[in-house]
Amino acid sequence: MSRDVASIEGLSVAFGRPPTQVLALRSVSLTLRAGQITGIVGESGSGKSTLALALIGLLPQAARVTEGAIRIGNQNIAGLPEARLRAIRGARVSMVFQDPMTALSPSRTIGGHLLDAQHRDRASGRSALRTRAIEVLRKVGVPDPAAQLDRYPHQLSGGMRQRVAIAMALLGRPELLIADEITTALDVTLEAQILHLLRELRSEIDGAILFISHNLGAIAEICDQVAVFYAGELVEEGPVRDIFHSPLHPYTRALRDCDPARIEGAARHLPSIPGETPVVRAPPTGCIFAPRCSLATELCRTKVPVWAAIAEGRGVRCHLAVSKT
Amino acid sequence: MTEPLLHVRDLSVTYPLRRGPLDMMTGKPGRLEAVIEATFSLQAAQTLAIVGESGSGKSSLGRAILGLETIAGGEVRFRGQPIGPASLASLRREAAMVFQDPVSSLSPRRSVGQLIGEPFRIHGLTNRDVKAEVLRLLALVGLPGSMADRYPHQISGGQARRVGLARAVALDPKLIVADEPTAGLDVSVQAEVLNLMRRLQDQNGMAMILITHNISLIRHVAERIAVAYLGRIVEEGPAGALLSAPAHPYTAALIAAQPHPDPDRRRTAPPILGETPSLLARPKGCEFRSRCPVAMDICASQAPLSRGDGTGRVVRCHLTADKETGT
Repeated sequence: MSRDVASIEGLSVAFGRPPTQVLALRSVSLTLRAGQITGIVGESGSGKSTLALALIGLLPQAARVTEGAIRIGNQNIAGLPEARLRAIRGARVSMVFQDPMTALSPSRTIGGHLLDAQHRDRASGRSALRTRAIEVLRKVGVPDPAAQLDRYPHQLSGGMRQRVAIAMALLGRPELLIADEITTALDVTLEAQILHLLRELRSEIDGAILFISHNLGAIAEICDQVAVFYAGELVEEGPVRDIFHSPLHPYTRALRDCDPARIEGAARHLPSIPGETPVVRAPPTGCIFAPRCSLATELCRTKVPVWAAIAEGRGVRCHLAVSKT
Repeated sequence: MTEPLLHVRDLSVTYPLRRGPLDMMTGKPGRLEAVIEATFSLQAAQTLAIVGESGSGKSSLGRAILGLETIAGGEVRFRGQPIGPASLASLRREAAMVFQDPVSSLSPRRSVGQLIGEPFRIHGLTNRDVKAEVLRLLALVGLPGSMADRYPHQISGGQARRVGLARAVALDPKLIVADEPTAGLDVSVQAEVLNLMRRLQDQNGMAMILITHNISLIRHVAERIAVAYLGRIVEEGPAGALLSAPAHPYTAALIAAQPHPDPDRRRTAPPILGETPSLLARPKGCEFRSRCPVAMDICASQAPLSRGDGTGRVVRCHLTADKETGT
């Protein structure tokens, strides 16, 4: 098995203080490996974005790591001071967001951004940095890269801006690239191109990619490993084919089944998951999915299921799935 | 065939552009053509999905049908009557819009009950028991009566969509135009909203126009589909046939671009490259030719005409025109 690039170990993150606190992540463990794209699937309130921010040391002030470790390589970055986190961000871990303008300043040229992103290598000289910027732009599919350096973000299309944001993230040669809903705001024909690009980068960068999406189609298209989150918990993890073809958790199954893209004929009534994702303010006393689970038993409502590791990289948090396997 | 509920013929929508002296010299156009000569009809109780990407004109088209945009050319007939300033008031009693962003389309100062009761007040139906109507409508869209006292910021995105739908169906309309009614919703909640729309349609017999970029959900909700690209309808026809055998290369690309939630059905390459051109730099000839994988010489020199194929499908493409004449 390939090298571990990053790992989350028993991580819990809370926002605010009791009684209004939100337990955004609870006892999450996940390992990201070199050469792999790990997909994080989850709906709103699942904790997927909190996980991403924890991995890049960008948790907001209101967030507290209440237990666990966030390891990049061998270093635990949980609770590190800002100055030490800066040495990791952009260098060992970088991130691309849904809206590329999050990363781009409207008053700075593309070239300016791409030189800034290489500030750690400035000793190698401006022309070397410029050459590398052009090379990375070409790699992410920006046509005529040298000519783009003098342009401003508003002069580029949405798709080109997202490619530039990806190029900026790659310039620091990160071990971990986090892509948080990066295709959500794109047109579908463009999304297909960016997904294809990520798949190409997977074999080119010497590291891991964390791909966060609510779109199951996009996850199935490019991920090797998939982690399913619900209401702050990792409920199931496994290789992509296992997650889509033989899901163990009722939530994974229900989520897959209500994707309209999966239903071949015309269905007048689409499957859904009744109810809403809860906001968790106190430690749950049963399975967090039980109120929406069609299979829930008394045990599910009264006892918190523990994480059951079934194989390397395969596990589930469900009373019923465990009793079956 | 009976007279359609809605008949849209050669409908165009344009927006004026601000031009400086320099823009005049460089030939920047004075108007942006958002919708060009759209033609289609809709029968009572039927659902038409207008699908397209950014810049396709799908939202402008939907708004123009309800008289929310100035019509630059062509006409919209609703129940046989052309819509215009004189008929707008009655049109809006019988046709309603569900707006794209549910929270910003609901006034933050009004309670859910007031918002749902608003259509009755606007149309002077105050003789009705508005409070009872509000409770009836809340129940209809699957919300508890207690929701009437809440304000828009106190409800979830899914609930806000339901409130938007309750407002739209309040006066028992014949037609609803819904602009991206499920965009931004979680997939588990999206299905509930779509099921609700279907149920309301079954009960009220209203027709629906569903504007969306999501081609994977339309097969389940629409009988007919119109595919828009750069302001033009490039293909229109029965949903099943259009999805299983798309005639226009853009329709085919849209379908193929949708990732499938099955890792065994991965694609090896993206179906089409490039991005939709700017509306200000419309390609000459066929608008899609700059991205079309099967473009021919004629596509650059001559704009294709919309042609019916005799099975209720209309396609705007030189390629299909060739097939028909057997060349």
